[in-house]
Amino acid sequence: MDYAELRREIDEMASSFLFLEKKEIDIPTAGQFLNQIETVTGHAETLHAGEISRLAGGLGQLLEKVVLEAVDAAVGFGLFERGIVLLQAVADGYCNAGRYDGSVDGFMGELASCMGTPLETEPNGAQTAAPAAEASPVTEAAGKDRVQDESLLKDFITEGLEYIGEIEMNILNLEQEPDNKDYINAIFRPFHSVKGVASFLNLDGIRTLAHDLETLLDKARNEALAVTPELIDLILDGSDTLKAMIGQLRDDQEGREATELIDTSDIVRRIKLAEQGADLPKQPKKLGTILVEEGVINEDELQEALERSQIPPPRKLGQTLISEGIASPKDVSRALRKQAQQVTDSNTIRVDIKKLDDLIDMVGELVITQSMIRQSAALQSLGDRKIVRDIAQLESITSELQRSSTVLRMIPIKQTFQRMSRLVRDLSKNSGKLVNVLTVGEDTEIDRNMVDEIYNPLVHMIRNAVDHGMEMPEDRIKAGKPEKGTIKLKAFHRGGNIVIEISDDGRGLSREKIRQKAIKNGLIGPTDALTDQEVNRLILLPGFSTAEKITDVSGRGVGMDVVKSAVEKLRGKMDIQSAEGKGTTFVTGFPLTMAIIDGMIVKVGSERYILPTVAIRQLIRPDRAAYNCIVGEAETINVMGRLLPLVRLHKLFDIEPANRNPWEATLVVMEGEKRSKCLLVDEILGKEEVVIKNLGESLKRIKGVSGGAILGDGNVGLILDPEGLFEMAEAN
Amino acid sequence: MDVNKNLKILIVDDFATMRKVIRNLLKQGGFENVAEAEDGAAAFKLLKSQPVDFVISDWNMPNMSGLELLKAVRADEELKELPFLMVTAEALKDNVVAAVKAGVSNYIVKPFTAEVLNEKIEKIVKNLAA
Repeated sequence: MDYAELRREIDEMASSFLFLEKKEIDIPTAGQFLNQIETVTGHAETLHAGEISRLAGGLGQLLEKVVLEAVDAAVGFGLFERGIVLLQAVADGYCNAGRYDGSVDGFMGELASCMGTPLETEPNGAQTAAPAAEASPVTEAAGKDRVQDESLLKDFITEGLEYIGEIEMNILNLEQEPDNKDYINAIFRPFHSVKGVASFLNLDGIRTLAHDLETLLDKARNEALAVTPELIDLILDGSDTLKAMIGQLRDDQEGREATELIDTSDIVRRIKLAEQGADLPKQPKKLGTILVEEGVINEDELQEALERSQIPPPRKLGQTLISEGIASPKDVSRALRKQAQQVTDSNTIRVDIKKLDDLIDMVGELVITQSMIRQSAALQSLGDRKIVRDIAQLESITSELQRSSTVLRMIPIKQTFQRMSRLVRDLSKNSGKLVNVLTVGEDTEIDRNMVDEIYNPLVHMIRNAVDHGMEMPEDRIKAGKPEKGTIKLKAFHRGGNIVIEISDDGRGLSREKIRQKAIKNGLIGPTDALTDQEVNRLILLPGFSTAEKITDVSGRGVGMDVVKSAVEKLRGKMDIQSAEGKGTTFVTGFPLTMAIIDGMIVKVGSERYILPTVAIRQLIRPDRAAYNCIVGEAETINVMGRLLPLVRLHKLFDIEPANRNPWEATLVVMEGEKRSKCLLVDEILGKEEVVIKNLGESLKRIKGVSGGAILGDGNVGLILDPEGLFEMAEAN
Repeated sequence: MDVNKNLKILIVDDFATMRKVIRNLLKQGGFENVAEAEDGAAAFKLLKSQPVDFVISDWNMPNMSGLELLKAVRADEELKELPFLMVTAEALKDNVVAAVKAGVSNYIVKPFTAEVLNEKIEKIVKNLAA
């Protein structure tokens, strides 16, 4: 590269300018010039031809302004023409003398004043100039196209809601991989598309909100903002608001009573704050949560009231509560004030989950140590009243501490529900069914460590509900139901458990078909009288669904036993309610945390073991006659007509027991995944809630043992895993 | 000279409603010979398989963006002369300049009216004829 070559490039540009047919630079031509200018600027810089690169750069900016219609085309044309001539002169100077004797300052000044901004800085005016110029004809056109808009609006509602579903899905992905630009893009795009169409349909509220969210995401994409959980929450809240706004459009369209306008000022304010990189204020607690905390209403009343508030015409929760006399206006208004206060204080900090786990662990130890002290015989023999009282005090403090520390790890089930809603949408799309998802109790909290665990069994139930429970739209119409089915996801707390209900309004379970199937598979006798509930539960039994696909049994039952055992592995319970033709509800209850287990303490020889209470069917001391032993075969016990294999715990663990005869010892009937067995132990010591400790890496793979715990008396006990024990027994 | 209203126009946008909006606006301008594609990749495939006279493409799309489609069209021996109108959300300087450098025929800012769209199409086609 030398000056001559640079000169040739500039001449080439000059000649293409000369050959322009009209006195106008149209866009394709501007494109060519911009590319040429870029080359020239680059080359001029490598040759240190300062004037040329400055001049060419200035001309480039001028062209950009012309393209963006920020500079009058004719004025721009004239300036550009003079600029090229000057450029040629400067290049001449460099070619002949290696420098340019004149000055380009005068022309650069003219360029700057024409563009209205000093050069080198980013021009901003153009961004708003173009849309503003076209603003007035838009409103006119809108009036003209009223009828057309109706059908467009309908499309927009359907497609827009779909897009927001997509956003939700991708936000959850983003949460897991905050650095993945693809996910940010995948969220950015739908907002962008929604905004574009909304602008055509004069939906200003939606357009503005989508635009704000898009800007926020753009900043995250360009790494001007970090993707924090707060940001993700904000985007989720934003998309929720958009969803509600589009939902409202739909209500309007379908002629339903117009609801109160959705107030976007709060969310817009939060977005603006976030854009400036300010700490995001935490979302205020919901009114219902406050009322429950205050003890004004209980959780069940809240859920029911929330559901009723949803029934059109929708009302605010407070209105429902007052009008139905559940809460007094005074209570509601006090709670509202409390809610308003929260907006101003955002005293939260983020803590590494590992630190929380450690804390909760240590609190667990504390509880145990405390209970060891309480049971200490030496201490009790002191007979000192003050010490007894102090220890009682210590006990209440530690148990309070334990309660409040487990709460730390709780998060709302909201995101799990969103993932499930998305799944329903995908499944129904694939199967051609029309399904609405309704969620209730999204704010119900559950241990963070449980969230992933419960997801899989829930997915199976959702699949079941959509694939088999829901009818095709035409069948629904025939059955006199609305074309679009509803799947309701509901969560609430009940007695230390989180209950999750998945209900559909599909075809329900067919009692007769299940009965016949169960008789055929030998699960029940032909004359057995079963209640509806018992019949429904049959589909959860292993052996109900056999190799043959039983889609004829309302399609239910395929692998439901697998779901049940997955739920039970999490120490959860599962039940089914169903009415033929009306729908089915799966009810699952999970413990709020996996850190504590309800266990039965048993003694074998001098050892103590903990058996998970959920797996225990019954405790028996059999008659001698109930014991059968055939040489070469396994020992069995007749438990109410069923022959169950006997498993001798002392044999499995090689201990000297106190009793070897089943009729002198105690038998624990335990349920495994697919079968039950009787466990022979010496005696039952009691029932206790224990904090589970894992045994460390080296002891992780020991069969039949799932962990350890420190018992109330300070001794260590192993927690046994029934399934593992069964396998050990079968291997012998 | 009047623009031939029988031009075969391809609308590229991932949002079906948006395609319908543009289709309606085109109809108001008398253009009824319209095809649609839902992203750049689908559009390029269509362009290679059937004759199209004019492309109106959105910017932001999955699989292949409007800009990538434009570049692919300009790099293609058969298609490089094809009139290409880019639809953008705002006249964002960087976006527009990138499209102009890649050889876009013109750009149009959302929301636009049938009149503006018509004007842009006529301008492009007339410039091409001249």
